Amino acid sequence: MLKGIIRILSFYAKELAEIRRQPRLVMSLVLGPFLILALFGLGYSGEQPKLRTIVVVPPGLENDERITNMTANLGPSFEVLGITTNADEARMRLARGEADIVEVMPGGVDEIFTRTEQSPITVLYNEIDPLQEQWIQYLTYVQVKELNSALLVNIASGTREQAGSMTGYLADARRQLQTIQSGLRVAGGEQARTAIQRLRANSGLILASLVLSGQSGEGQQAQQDLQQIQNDLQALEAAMENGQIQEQEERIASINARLAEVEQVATQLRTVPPEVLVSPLITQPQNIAQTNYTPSYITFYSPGVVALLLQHMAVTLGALSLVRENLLGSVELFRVAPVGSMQIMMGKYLAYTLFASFIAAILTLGLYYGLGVPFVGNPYWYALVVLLLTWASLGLGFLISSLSQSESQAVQLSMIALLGSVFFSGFFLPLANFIAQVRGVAYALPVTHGVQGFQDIMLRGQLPSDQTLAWLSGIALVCFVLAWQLWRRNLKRR
Amino acid sequence: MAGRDTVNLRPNVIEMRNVYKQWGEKVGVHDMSLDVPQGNIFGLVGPSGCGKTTTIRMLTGVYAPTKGDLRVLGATPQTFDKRARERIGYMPQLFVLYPTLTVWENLNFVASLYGLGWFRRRKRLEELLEFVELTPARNTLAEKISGGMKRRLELACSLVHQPQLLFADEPTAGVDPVLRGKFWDGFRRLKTEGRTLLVTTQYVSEVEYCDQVAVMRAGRLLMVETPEGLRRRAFGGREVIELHVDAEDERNARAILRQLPFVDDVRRPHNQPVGTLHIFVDNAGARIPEMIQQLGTDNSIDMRNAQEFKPPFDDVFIILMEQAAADDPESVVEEVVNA
Repeated sequence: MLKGIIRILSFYAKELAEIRRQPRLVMSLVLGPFLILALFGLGYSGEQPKLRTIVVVPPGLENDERITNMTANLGPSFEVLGITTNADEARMRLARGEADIVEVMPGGVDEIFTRTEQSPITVLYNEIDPLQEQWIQYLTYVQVKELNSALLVNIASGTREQAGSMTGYLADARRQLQTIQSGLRVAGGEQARTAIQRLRANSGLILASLVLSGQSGEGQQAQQDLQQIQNDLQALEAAMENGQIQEQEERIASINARLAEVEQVATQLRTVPPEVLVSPLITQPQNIAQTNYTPSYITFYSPGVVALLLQHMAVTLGALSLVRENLLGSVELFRVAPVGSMQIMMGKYLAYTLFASFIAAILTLGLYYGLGVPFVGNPYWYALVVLLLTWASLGLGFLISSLSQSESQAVQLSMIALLGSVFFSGFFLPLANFIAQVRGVAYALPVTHGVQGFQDIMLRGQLPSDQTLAWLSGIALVCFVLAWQLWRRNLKRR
Repeated sequence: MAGRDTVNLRPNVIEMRNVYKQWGEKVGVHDMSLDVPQGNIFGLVGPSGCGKTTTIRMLTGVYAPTKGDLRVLGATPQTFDKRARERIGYMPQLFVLYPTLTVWENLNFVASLYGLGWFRRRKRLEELLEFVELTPARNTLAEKISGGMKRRLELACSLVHQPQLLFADEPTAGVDPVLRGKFWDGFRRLKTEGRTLLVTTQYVSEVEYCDQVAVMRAGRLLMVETPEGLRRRAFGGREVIELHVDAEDERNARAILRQLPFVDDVRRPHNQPVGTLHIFVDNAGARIPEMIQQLGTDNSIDMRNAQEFKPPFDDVFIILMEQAAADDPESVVEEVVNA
C-alpha cells in the first residue's frame, strides 16, 4: 500500500519538477490570458463599423430635397459617402472596396403610394463573409422599415391637419341632417334634397381624410360608418324620389349616431401624435439578470477564456505526457519496474490537477483584482467545476496521447481540439445556432460545460447546473477509462 | 548450460530452454538455451542486431517468448509479480531518463518507482552517486551531462533498489576506455556482493571480465564458454606458442617443428615479420620446454624467444564469427546445445 503511494507520488513529483523547469510556460499560461483579455477590453468597442453607403438616385433627383432628407435619415449604422446618378461608377467603387453598400433608389418617388406593387430599393454589396452579409441585410431591412415609417409619419401629420377641416365638414353635416329632418315634414322638401346632396359630398371628404389615416382600428370603424352613411343617404334620396321620405326617420337617426362616432374619431386624430398613429408600439428592454455590475464584453468573455485556457492546457499536458514517455523510451523502464499503468496515470493526474488548479486560481484572482471581472457566486462550487473541467480535459489529453505516435501528432490533435472548442463550445457562436447533431460535438467538449458553469457561478451567482456537472463528470470518466485501457495495452509486456 | 570449465555449485538464476522469439517471419532469437548461475558475471556478446537486446527483453519480461521455457529467479518473466520485479535491475541500452530533471531527481524518481521509502532513500542515493562518481553533478540537468555520465546515471538508477539480478544492455557502449574500466570494476564489486549480472557488449575485449560468455550471431547462440574457452575454440581447441627466430632460420625451424609429434600446425601470422611463427599445440605451457629442447639440437637455429600466445579477444571473436559463417548455422547451434 505504502509502496503504491510512493510509486504514484514518483510521477506526481516528476511531472511537477518538469513543469517547474519551464518557467516561461507557466508565465505564458498566466500572463497570456491577461494580456489577451486586457487587449480585448481596451480594443473591442462591440459596435459594428458604419456601412459606407453610396446612394444612387434617378437622374435629376440628386439635389432633390426629399432625397436629401431621406439619406439624412438612413440611420446611425450608415455613413453616406455620396449621392449620385451614376450607378456604374457606384458599382466600381463597391468592387474596389471603397464602399460597403450601394443603395439604388426607385424612380418616380411621387408615385410610390399609388402603384399596385411595392417599390424596391436595390442594395448592392460585395461580401464573402456570411455574418457580414447577414448584418447588411438586417440593417438595410431595418433601414427600409424606418424609411417607410418616416413616410407614414409625414402622411399622418398631413391627415392630422386635415382632421381640423374634417371637424368643419362634420359640423356642416350635422346641420344638413337637421335640415333633412325638418324638411321631411315639409311636402316636396326641395331644401331636404339639397341638404342630402351636400351631406353626401361632405361625407365623401371625411372618408377621404380617414382613408389616409386608416392605420388604427377606430379609423377603420369610422370609414365603415361613413360608407354606411353614404349608403343611407343614397337610400334617403331614392325614398324622396319615391315620395316615401316620411318613413325614413329611423334611418336619419342612424346617420346621426354614425356621424357622432365619426366625430369622435376625428377628435382623436387631432389629439394623437402621428408617430403613435404610425408606430403605436415600441420596445422597452429590461434586463432582469440580478447583477450588481454593468455587463461588458470583457466580463462576459472572461469565464470562457479561463475555461478555454484550462482545457487547452490540460489537453496539451495530457497529450504530450504519455507520448513523451513512449518517445523517450521510459516505457521500457516501466515495463520492467514494479509499477502499474494505473499508478502512472494517477500520479500524472495528481500533478497536472494541482498545476491546473494553481493556474486557475492565479488567473481568477488576477481577473477579479486586475481586470475587475465580477465573481458573484460560490468559490467552492467554482473550485469543483475547475476540478471537473481539468479532469475531463486531462482525460481527453491522455486519450489523444494514447492514440498518438509522435509529439507533433499529439500537438496537432490538441490544436484540433482547441479549434473545435472555439467553434463549437458556445464561446463565440451560440450553441443554439447549430443543428442538434452538431450540438452533440459541442457537448462532448469539456469547455462547453466549463464556460457554462463558470458563467453561472461568476456572473450570475448561481450554482452550476446538474447538466454541467453531469457532462463534465461523464467526459472525465469515459476519457479516463479509455485512456487508461489504451495506456495499459501500450505498457503490456509483449 | 554453464560453461564446461566452470564448476557450478550455485543455483541458476536464469534458465532458458529452446527459446524462440519471432515476429511473423522475422526471427529475433532462435532456439536458445543457457543457464546463468547465481553470483556470476555473464557476458552476452555478438555483433549488432544478433539478438542480445531481444534476449534481455525476454528475460526481463518485456517480450514474451514465442516458444520455449524461460525462468528467471525461479519465475516466468511474463508473470513476474511486483516482488519479483523489485529483485531485478535493468539498465536499458539507450538513455531513457528525463533530460529536464537533474541527476538527483532522476535517481530519486527511479527510487520511487521501486517503492524505496523516503527515510532510507537519501542515504542510498548518496551512496550510489559516490559509486558512479556523480556526486559533483547531482544538481545538473541530465540533458547537460556527458554521454558517459548518462550511462553512469543509468547504472545508478538500475542499482537503486539493490537488485539481486542486474541486466545491463551494452552499458559501456559509447563510453571511453577509462570509464569502461571503471564500469567493470563496479560490476566486479557487485559480484563480490553476491549479485548476478547479465551484461551485453559489443566490445569483445570486455569478455575477459566475465565469468562466462555466450556468443550470439544472427539470433543464434553459438557457444557458452569461459573467456579462455573461447580462445581455445577459436583455434580448434588448441593453444598457440609464438616463436621468434632469426629470419634466415625460419625455413629450417619450420621443417623441424613440423616433424614434432605434438605440433599440429606451424604458420607465420599475418602482418608479422619473417622469423615469427605460431605453433599450434595441445598444451602450450607443457610443450614450450619440449619444443625448445628439440630446436636446440640444431645449433644453426638462432632462437630468440618462445612464449604462449594469447590472441586479443577481438581476433578470437573475428575467427569465431568467420567460422560460424562458414559452417551451417543450424549445425552450429545444434552442436552447442548438445555439447
